[in-house]
Amino acid sequence: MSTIDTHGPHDSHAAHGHDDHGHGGHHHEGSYLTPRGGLFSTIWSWMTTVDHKKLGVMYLTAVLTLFFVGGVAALAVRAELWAPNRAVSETQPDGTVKTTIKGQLFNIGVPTEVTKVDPATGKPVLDAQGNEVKEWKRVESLNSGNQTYNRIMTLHGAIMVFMVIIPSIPAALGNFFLPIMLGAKDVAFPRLNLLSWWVYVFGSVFAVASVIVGGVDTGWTFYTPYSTMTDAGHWRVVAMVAGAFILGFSSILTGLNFIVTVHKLRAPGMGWFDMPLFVWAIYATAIIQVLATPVIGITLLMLIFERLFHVGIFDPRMGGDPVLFQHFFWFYSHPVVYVMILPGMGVASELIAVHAHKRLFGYRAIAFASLGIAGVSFIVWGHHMFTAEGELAAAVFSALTFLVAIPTAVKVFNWLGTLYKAHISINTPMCYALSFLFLFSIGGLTGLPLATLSTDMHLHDSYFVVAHFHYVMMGSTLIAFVGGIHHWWPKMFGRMYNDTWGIIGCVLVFIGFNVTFFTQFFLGTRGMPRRYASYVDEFTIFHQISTVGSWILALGFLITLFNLLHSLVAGKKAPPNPWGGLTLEWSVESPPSEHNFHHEPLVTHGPYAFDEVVPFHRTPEEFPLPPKPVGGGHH
Amino acid sequence: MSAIDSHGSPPTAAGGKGPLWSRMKHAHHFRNHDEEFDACKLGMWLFLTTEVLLFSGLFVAYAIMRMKYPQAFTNGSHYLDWRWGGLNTIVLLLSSFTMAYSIRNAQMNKQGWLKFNLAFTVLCGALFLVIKFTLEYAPKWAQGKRPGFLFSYPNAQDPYEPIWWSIYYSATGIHATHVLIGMGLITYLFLRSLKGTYGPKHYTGVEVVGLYWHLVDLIWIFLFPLLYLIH
Amino acid sequence: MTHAALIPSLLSPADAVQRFMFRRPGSSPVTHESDWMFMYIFWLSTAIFIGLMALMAYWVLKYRWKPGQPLIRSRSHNTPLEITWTVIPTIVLVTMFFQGFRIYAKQQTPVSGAIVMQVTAMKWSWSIMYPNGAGTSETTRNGAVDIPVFLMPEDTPIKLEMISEDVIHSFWIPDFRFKQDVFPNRKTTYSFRADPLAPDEHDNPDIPYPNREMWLFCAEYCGDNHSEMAGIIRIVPKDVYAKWSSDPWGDMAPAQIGQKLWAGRGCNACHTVDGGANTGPSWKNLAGYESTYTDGTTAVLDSNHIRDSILNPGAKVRTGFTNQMPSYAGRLTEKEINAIIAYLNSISDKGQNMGVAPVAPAGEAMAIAPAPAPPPPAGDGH
Repeated sequence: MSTIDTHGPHDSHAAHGHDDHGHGGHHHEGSYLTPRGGLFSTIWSWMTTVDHKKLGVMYLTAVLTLFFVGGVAALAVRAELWAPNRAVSETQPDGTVKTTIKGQLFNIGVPTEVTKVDPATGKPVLDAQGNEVKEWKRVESLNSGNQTYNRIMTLHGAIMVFMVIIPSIPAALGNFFLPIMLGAKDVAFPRLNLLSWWVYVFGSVFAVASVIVGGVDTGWTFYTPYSTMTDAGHWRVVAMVAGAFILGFSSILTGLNFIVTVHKLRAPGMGWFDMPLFVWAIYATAIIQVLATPVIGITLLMLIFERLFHVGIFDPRMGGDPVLFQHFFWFYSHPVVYVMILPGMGVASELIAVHAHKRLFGYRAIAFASLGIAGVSFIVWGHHMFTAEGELAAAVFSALTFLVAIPTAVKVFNWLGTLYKAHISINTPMCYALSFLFLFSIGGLTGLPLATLSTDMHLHDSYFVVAHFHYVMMGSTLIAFVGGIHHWWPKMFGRMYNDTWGIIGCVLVFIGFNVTFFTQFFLGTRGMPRRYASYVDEFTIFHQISTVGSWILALGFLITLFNLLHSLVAGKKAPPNPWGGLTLEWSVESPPSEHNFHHEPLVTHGPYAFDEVVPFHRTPEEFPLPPKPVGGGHH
Repeated sequence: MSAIDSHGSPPTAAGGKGPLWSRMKHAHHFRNHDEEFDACKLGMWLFLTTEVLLFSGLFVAYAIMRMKYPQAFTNGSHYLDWRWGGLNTIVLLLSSFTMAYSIRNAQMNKQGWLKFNLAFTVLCGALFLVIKFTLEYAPKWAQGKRPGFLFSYPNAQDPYEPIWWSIYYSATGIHATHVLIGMGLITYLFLRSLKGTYGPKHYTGVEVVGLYWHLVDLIWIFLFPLLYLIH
Repeated sequence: MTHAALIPSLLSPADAVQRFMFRRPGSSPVTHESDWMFMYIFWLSTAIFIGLMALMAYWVLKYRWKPGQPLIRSRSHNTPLEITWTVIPTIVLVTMFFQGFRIYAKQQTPVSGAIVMQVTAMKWSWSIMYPNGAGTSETTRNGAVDIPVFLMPEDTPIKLEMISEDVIHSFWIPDFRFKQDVFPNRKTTYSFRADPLAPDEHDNPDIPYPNREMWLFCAEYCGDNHSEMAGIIRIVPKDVYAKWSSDPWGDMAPAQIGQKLWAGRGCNACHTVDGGANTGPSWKNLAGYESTYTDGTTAVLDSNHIRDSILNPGAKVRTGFTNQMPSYAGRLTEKEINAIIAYLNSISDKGQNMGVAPVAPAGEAMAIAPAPAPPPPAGDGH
């Protein structure tokens, strides 16, 4: 870069528009957050915006809100599992024996027609003809308590998978940063982007509506024939499945938009291998979204037909095949596991490179590993059905599953190699990056006994699986997501948060997470099946440790949330480049202006070429490195 | 879909000269018109990929169920009249031709033919749906040849015929929905073409909707033999 | 590994870890191999993990950076190193796959000459039909419900043929380290051969002969009481099994058998016997009473009606309920149906005197809602 010119450190005058790259006097539109007009017109302008940054912020808000809802459901699940169900008989004063079920915290009962009893006399109420009067009451029983648990468990799973993790990094951070990192003014199809957002809202409303009217107890996987038989006559399952179907559209359209953006809107000078690894990861993710989501679309559509018309394709009573549903479902939902983890890997790459101020070791290997994982992800779905399919299929899918481990291992080694002889700042984003490496390694390594046929026969559908996928989905993806939020928060909102409290939050989350979920590996190997509302006594102590862990985890997230919100009102103004990053988003103001760049940027160095770009005796933070304009003209 | 973003910004130069299509500007975040055109086409191709995958799910279900219950599928196919299916195939092929020709018309600035071909394409789509619903669905439904639990045809030869009808109604129903959506998009093109929106420098919308319409046609080309012509 | 080697003092640290991991050793020859496989992966992973994390911690501490320090030039990649760390994991993973597949093939191979038993899964209970056509006669209390106890002979190849009445279930005995899904439309099998019992092995100390008890769980989510769908597999000496299987009910009274069947064949999943609410009508005060049905008719529940309701539950459904019950035709013998009829009558104050003393309600479980006012004791009520 030739623009390492005259100015010194930025902290004093950084927040809005440092006007120092030789184009004095040209206009500044102000940040994208600046309200235009009154309150209502501002709200309207957000609701109808095609600005990828505003859409990113709206996704972020929605995802965090739903994360809160799903998290409360998770705490409820853990609280319910504090003690197993047991029947306790007590002798009443009148000599009768009364039996109650203990160990069920939540029990909303089931509506049942019962004889109306006069509370004063304790006798049935009779009508004029002398018949007993019936009334509908919510009657609590063992079943209804377990059913309450099953509904909360389904709520947690469905919200976290379909509405939080899948859109978390791609739709929130990806929307905001992908175009800026590419040097573009917006995504390729801004109006389509707005449509995706409203489709996402619409789908979430469907799903949440089904919860408000009583919830669904199918589990987020909707396995047939249970999902087509349960709750007969009610529309809740249809609403939930339709919600997932609609959310799929949002996912497809976002992915499509990102692919075209990456192909067509890279800034001049940015070749494929000059793209930040976050962009590579989002690109690989988008390919999976586009190719896999239609299959879940048709599957869920057929499930809705099955529910409404009993078409019989998945219904064993009519000659259909319930395992066909599982194949369809996992043909989508396994690739979608990588829709969830690949963006997390992309964020981790950014965090590690920027806060270690070092070229990422083996950049191309990481980029190709992303594509490799995306490719292999389509041919391993059968490993979710080792206990349901034939021996040959199981053997083939097991072998293919081991293939995924190779690019994954390569990525971990490369991240670790980046730390060697690096220049590491210990701050909140780096703490999250290190947590990610720790938790993702456990998540990856515990995948090995699940991919191995003989050991999976024991571990399948046990708490081992629960622990494993929480290490990958939450310990890796969501930790990377929260780390990414801390990394880009100054850029998105122009404020610095308190780093000390950020680190405290991160450490609590890390400890709480491990206490909650590491315990569950032992529950699984010792024989605890998943999706149990109760359990046999010998598992109690493990469940109680896990529940205590969930409280620590919740405390960590609350501290983090408060710290971030507090920064919005009381945080220091953020400089354009607080961490010393070299990718294009650090070359624009914090927060960015409406069209991101005042001139089309020209990329002259790699995304992580710290040692080439930052001269001796200077610190990276001193170099916001404004992009070189193309042709000097306005656009 | 891409069509939403394909038609560029409305003309900004008030009182500009020349037909509307020559004054259309590309969206501000593209560098030039060609880039926008390429992006829209790439977007539409990606979307078509998702459509193919959507229907491939149905085709897999078809293949597996036919493998399990070949007799039900042969019987079911014999209830269908291949002549109506054949006529519908011809109608759709014709509409694909006029759709392709309308792109050519836009490129050659033949505004009259452009409007005619677009309108003709919509009418072909409508004719397809009319044949499908009044001559195929309605009589079969009345006879009790319905999917799943709704099945009540008294002369069924095979216990699994309800599965056949489930596949038949799902596949053709989802395809008919696509025809309906395509007709909506082409109607939109037609209305805009009345104002002279499309011409040699601005025909992205016609092009991408055309791609979509050809895919709808192509899927029917697969559905027709698989449903009507099996023994 | 034999079960005699359970004394903690003799355990090496590695064995102690394995014990903690699995609660106790596997119970069949092939489980020792699959446990070895698991521990092999476990120790390998642990070594890799500790290595990686130690490097990470060391480098993070060593290469801390303060603003102002110059940046060192660094390599962007190192091809030989990267090829090495791609190839070595690949080799390890390939061997892991083949080992896993080899043991899996053993797990799946049915033993020739095995005793074949029929397993039926339904919401939310297991039942096993032994070669003599009988079911189990033993139940035990687990948490809030009674679950069946299935006797199995030691050191004998057993093959279970499994089918489901309703949705997909999964048959999992953790001590055999193996599970198999159970489908409504096709039979699947589960084969095992339990290790011989040690003479001093008494998991259940109340039983005079050596025995090993292990859990049976449902591992595929199947609805409300998925978590209560458990059972106990009791491995018993061969001669005990032979004696039991020749006469499973002994000289029990019909109503007592009926009560066992209620607890052991899944009736208790939906029917209480103390008047409490559940998916199906409570059996308390049912026999001999008149009830109304969803088709508008009313009828008195006599023996024939009870029998019809067991064999064809959907024919008449009581108002306030929907039919969720599978047919028991072919799964209960006439003798067992008679026993259930006797049990229903014994717990109804309008029940017929079937010539046996009433059975005290065993299933105090299942009810949260207070039972209706207790009726007078059953007697010659009609």
